[in-house]
This record gives sequence, C-alpha cells and structure tokens, in this order.
Amino acid sequence: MSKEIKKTITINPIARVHGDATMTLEIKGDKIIRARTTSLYVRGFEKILVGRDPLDAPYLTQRICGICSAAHGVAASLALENMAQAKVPNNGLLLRNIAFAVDIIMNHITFLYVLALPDYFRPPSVSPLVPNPTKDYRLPAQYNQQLGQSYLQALTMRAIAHQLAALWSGKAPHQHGMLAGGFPLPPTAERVLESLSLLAQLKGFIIDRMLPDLELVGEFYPEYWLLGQGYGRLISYPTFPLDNRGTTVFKGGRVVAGKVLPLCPDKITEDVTRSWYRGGEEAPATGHTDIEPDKDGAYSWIKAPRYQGLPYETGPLARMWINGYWRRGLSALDRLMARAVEAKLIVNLIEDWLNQIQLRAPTFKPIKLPREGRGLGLTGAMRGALGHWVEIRGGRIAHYQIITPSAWNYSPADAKGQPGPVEKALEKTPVADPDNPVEAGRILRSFDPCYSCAVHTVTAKQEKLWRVL
Amino acid sequence: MLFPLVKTMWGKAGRLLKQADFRRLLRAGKNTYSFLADMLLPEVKRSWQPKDRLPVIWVEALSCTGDTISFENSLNPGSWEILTELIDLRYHYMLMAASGNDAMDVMYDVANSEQGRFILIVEGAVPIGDKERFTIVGTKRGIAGFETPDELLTAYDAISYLGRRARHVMAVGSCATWGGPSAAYPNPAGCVGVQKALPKRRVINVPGCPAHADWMVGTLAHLVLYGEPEIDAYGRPTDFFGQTIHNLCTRRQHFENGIFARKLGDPGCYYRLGCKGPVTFADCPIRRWNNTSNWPVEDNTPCIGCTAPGFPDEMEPFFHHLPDIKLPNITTTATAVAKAVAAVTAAGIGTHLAVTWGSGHLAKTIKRGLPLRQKPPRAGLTGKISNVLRSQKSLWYPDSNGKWDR
Ligand code: SF4
Ligand code: SF4
Repeated sequence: MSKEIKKTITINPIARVHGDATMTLEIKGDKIIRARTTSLYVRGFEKILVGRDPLDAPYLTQRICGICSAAHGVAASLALENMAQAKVPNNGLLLRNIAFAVDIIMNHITFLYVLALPDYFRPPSVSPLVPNPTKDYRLPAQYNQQLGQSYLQALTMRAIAHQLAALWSGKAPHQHGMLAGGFPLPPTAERVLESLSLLAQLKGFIIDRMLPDLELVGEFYPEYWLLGQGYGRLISYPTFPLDNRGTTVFKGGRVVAGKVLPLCPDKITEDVTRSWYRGGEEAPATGHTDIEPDKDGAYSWIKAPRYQGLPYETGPLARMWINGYWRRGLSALDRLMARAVEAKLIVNLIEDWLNQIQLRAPTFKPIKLPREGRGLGLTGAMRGALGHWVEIRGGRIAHYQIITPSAWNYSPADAKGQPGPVEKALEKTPVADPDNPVEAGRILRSFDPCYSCAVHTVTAKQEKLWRVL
Repeated sequence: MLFPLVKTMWGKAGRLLKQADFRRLLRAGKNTYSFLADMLLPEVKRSWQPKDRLPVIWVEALSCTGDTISFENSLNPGSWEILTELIDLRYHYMLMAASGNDAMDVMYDVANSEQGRFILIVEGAVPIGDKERFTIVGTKRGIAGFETPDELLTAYDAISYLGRRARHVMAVGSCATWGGPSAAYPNPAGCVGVQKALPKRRVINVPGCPAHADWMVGTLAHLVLYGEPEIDAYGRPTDFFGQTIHNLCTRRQHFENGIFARKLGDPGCYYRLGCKGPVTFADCPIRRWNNTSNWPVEDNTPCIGCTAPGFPDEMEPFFHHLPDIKLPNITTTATAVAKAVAAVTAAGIGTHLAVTWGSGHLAKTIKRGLPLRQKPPRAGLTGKISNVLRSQKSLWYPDSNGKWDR
C-alpha cells in the first residue's frame, strides 16, 4: 500500500451550531484519526450568579442559552425547590412541563430542519443557504423538493411552538413562567383550548413531515446508520416530574454496552486537564472555575464531565434508549431519529397534560429558602442531561455550578487521555474529500451542538491572552 | 402582517404611505397592520421587486443566540418572507449552510463589494481590550485592514472592520446594546455594548432579552425603506421604546387603586413584587409576545426591565422593587455609582409615587410599608453608602481573596 498522506485541517467557524466553535481534524489517507473540538468563547455565567438573590436564578440562567432557555429555568427552579424541600402543586408541575416540553419541540424542529438537514438536502438557493456546504446531495429532485417544503413549513412551526410556550409562559425565549414554587398562570379553559389547537398543528407536522423526511434521509444516506458511533455509553437524567415524590415521565439512568444501569449524581466529576482552568478532578457541588490560559496541553473552554471517570454521551438518544423508545443503534442517524421519535412522544404527552390540568386547583406556592443550604436540580434538556448545583449562604448565591449536556458531549480529553464523546465519534470516520470533510460536519451536528451552553467561566483577574491551537 | 405593507411602500417608493404614517403603523398594534395590509395587498403583488433587497451581515459576538431565535419567531412576516423579500441575509453564523473558509469568504465579499450598502446586525456583547480574544468569530483569510495582525478574527475585529463599511449598524438584544447579561457583574469576559466598541459610528439599538421579533423586523424595515429611524438618547427607535411599560400596562388601574399582587401568580399590579415597568421603555403590553399570545405581566410575573440599560444588574433582584447594586469593593467612587444607579430606577418609581401619593388607596399601602426580604447591610459597609442606598437592601460580597464578608 502506498504511504498515506497525513494532514490537519481546521474548520472555523462551524456554521449551523449555536455559538462560535471550531474543529481540528487529523486526517490520514481517507480516515479521520484524531479530532478536537474547541469552543471559541467564554461568558462566565457561574461567576455572574454569585452574590445574587437565589430567586433570580431561574430567570438569569435562562440567559445562558437562547435555544434551551426553558431547560435552564426548570433546572434552576428544581435546584431551589430541592433546597427548600418545597411541595410544588401538581398542577404547577404539569404547566411547567407543558411550557418546557413545547420549548423542546421548538428546539427539535429548529435543529433538524434549520441546522442538520441542510447537510443532506439541497436547500433553496437563497442566502444564507448558498453557498452549499457540499456536493454530496443524493436525494432525487422530487424528494429534495419535499424536504424543501418541509423546511419552509418548519420555519413557521417552530414559531408556533414558541407561541404556545408564550401562551403559558409570557414570552419565549427566556420564559417568565419558569419560577421556583410552581407556575404563575392559573389555567383557563380558553387557554387550554387555544393550546390544543396550536398543538394539533405541531403534531401534524411531526407525524406527516418530520418522521417521513428523516426516513427518507436514512434511505439515501445509509452509511450514517453506522458512522459516528462514539463510546456507546449514554447518560440521562429524570425528566418531567409529575409529583413531589420523584415520579417522572422519563427516567434517568446510564447505558453501558446496551444495558440500562442506575445513576448516582455523586459520581459525576469535572476534569480540567485539557481545559483552560486550574485544578484537577472536582465534584460540581464544590468545584471551582479559575482560568489558567497558558496551561500546557489545554485546548478548550469546556470542562470535561465524567461519570466514575468515564466520558458519557447524552441527548434524546440516551433518553429514548433508557426509556425503551429507540434502541436501534448509536450512529449519527440514530441520534437524528431519536429526536424525531421524542418529538412525537412529547406532543402526545403535552396533549395528555393539557387534558389533566385542573382549572381551579392551585398552581403556585411560594417557597421558603433557608439562609444556608444546598440544592441540586437535574433535568433532561433538549440536548440531554442538565444539572444545576447551587449553594446559598446568608440568603445569597454563594456557589453555582452548571453541567450542561453540551459539556458532556463536547468535552475535551481528560487526564487519562480519553477524548470527549464527539471527538471519539469522529475518529475513524472515512472522508471522501479531505479538504472538505462534509462527513465530519454531519456527525458533529448529529449531536445538536450548542456552545453557548457548553462554555463555563473565567475569573475577572485573567490578564493574558489565551493560546490558540 | 407588516410584510405586504412594506412591499407596497417599497414598490411605490414611499408614495403610497408617508414615513410619518408608516411610523404610526409601527407604533400601533399588529391588528392595524393586517387591516391595512389586506387592503393594499393587490397593489403589492404588481410593484414589488425583491432584487433590490439590501444585503445584511449578522455577526454573533458573546451571546446566547436568543435574539436569532426570537428573530425567527416572527410570523407576520415569517422568517422566510423576510429572507426572500425584505433583506438579503448573506452571512449569519447560525443559519447559513456553508462553514469555515467558504463562509468567511462570503462575509468579506459582501463587506467589499457592497461597501456602504449593507446593514450590519450584531447580536451579543463585545469583549474588548485584553479580553478581546474571548470571542472568536472566524478567521481573517489574509485580508488586510484589521486592527490586530492575528489570523483569528475576534468579535471586536469583525465589528470594527464591518462597522466602518456598513451603511447602518444595528445592535439587537440587550447584550449587544449595553452589555446585558453577558456583561453582568463581575463581567468575566470584559464585554461592552456595540456602541461603546464603535464610538465613532451611530448604532441603532434594539434592546430586549431577547429583542422582540417585531422590534428587529420593524427597525430593519425602517432602515430599508426610509433610512435611520428616530431614536432616543440611548439609540433606541422611539417607535417601539418611546413609552414605559407602566404607561401602557393593562394593570395600570390596579396600580392606581393600590390593588397589588401579594405573591407571584396573583392577579393585580406587580409593583410590590418587583415590577420594573415604571422605569422600562418598551411596548410589550400592547405589542405582546410571540404572535401576540401573551406578555410577562399578564403571565402574573413582574416585568424585569430587560430593555433598560443596565439590565440585569440594575434591575435585580427581579422580585423586589428596588435595585440590587453590585459593588466589588466599596470605595468612595462606588457611592457615586450607587447614587446614579439608584437615581435611575428609584427616581422613576419615586416620582410616580409622589404624584399618586395623595390619591386612591396607594397612600395607605405605602404607609403600611413595602416588604423587604433582606435585612439592611451591616454598619461598617453601609457607612460608606448613601442614604438612598441604605434604605434599600444592599448586598454583601466576597472580597478579592474570596472571603465572605458578613
Ligand atoms: S440579550 Fe438576552 S437574548 Fe440576547 S444574547 Fe443576550 S442574553 Fe441572549
Ligand atoms: S408596576 Fe408593573 S404591573 Fe403595575 S401597572 Fe406598572 S407595569 Fe403594570
């Protein structure tokens, strides 16, 4: 065999992801041998939260991410309720679930059509959809047109999903209904009815468009049922609480080698060996985030969350696998499919919840926060496992740590040299054109990247410029 | 329904509707749009020439992408109509199909071939100074004319390069206008708003967290059709930000009559639960959010003042009616800062209260006292803070060694 050429390419910026990011690929012959994903910005939300009124956290943390705002609102509310040992009225939990679930639908529609599918179908020739990212478009004209129509419809549908969220939550993104203690808006028959009508449109779109469209993609791009498999270890947190005893619609857990195992949040740590932060492996309840920009070998602003020292992938695929709704495989297309399957499940759930709402039952009960205390809020967000760890002292936030789903997925390598799940999934991927590795883009996007969420924090004292890859 | 109307005016070069009328429509609720648009629709179809759309470059600095999400929430006109008929969105980090060099080339092509014609929209705050490289938005592709020699394109580099060449610069969202949540104390990434980063250029500020789709689309439409809109001292279009929430609020009569909500979720005015409506300029109560479905006070929660300069620091705590002032170390200058900040928020509310003092039930309510959750800060700390501040709840803060001062 002839000697294979090795080359390194960097793609900057990666379009159709949330936030500024880049990826560097080492390609040997026609295979990716090593991949590194780097987030290119830092915001420092955890530092910003310190010293503030804890009740503000559900609103303020939503500002971390515009596309999954409700998830942060829910996690922060749960953390405070957990600290206060609050009894939230069930009606309030249902309404919060509805507002949150609709935001998930909005995300899945936006992600699949606006961010992911332009890699697979030739989008209409209108800026900013030209120039196209690839020449590898395989859908016959008729099907391509079908996806084009769905794309346009999706733009409206995602706005309708947010309209439904706002109907309950005041506005979206950054919903006002996300509060510790329940939900502020007592339901009325008229609102329930309007919701059901908006929901019917979403349901129609998901069943008539989203699922068939994805099946089509699966038919014409069959190799993606195999590519991008990663570690095969999945993690997910309990999602959509139904009462104060811990009953949730989607259960949390882990998947290792296809088997579902239980989850213990105490075993989660964050490693910063390859991130521009000081310290080693720390638990999120006590962990620090102090920057060290000249650190040897570091290459990302994202910390590396690990469960018992091992990297785990998270997302709708993890949620669907653990709850038994999608167990076909762990490839790039499985991730996309799991999202659509989840979207369908969730619209049905919302419908049930809307029917279960009691019109005159209480929805909100103010919580009593202790002067000192700790709280933990875990939920499944749009992109997977989201955790907020909060500590208050003297009635003020003294410590706040957030582990986002994107941190799990986009984590850099750790002390043991294990690359993050996305980096692992990119390894060994064959590429047709090493100068334009469209395959890498497709696999990376199958995780629904969101760097707004993934990046953590820096101290105000940092002076030096950080080094560049 | 703004859209067909815009088309009409474009086609007829403003003859059909004068700018003043257009602005009146912008200020009015959405229903007026649809009514007028329906009448004008047949006219529109004949006269509209989409090829005259102005090119737009949308740059994301340090943001949460919420303003893009909100922009896409526009339903009348829908985002597709906007893209195909109002503007030519050539570069948008999240929506565009191409990545890497292909994407950057589009940006530089527009900046040079459409110089003086394109509109620059910036979302997110801009890290400057030694933190400039906290936000990298792309690469320079070996193009000359930047302030720093490095190959990576920082957000500041991008907006100063593009800002010099653009016809209009529009900052969307409170992060881009004044720093917003990205620049909240202690401002870990060293961010400022776009106007501060580009002191020599006029920036049209469309604040909000996120900015309402109508505010962004309406301002864009004005830029395309008539050039710069009338703006206030903060650079905000007066069409949308000319009145306070409080003036337009549907629960204003509750305020006047002293009917206040006692806990979140209650009906009534949210003043006692921290509503910042009296000092926040925006038209949420009549425009309403997400295709007119709701707005925060109707959701039984307080307005948190997200369109105001100084959001979120000067608007916190959200659920108390007085500002929370972030003072890293209390110094003499901090007193001045505190006074100024308190003046902005408290004065607005105070004046209003003074006026309403004698009337209605409010006087009684005030005499009973407004509830404060936190105790006032201890003497050593308060000694240095003005009386205005002392009457409010202040905060204690870790000192530079991370110790908690109590
Ligand atoms: S202003 Fe608000 S919505 Fe806009 S980028 Fe900042 S945090 Fe996000
Ligand atoms: S204080 Fe707030 S709720 Fe009360 S009238 Fe003013 S804007 Fe409305």
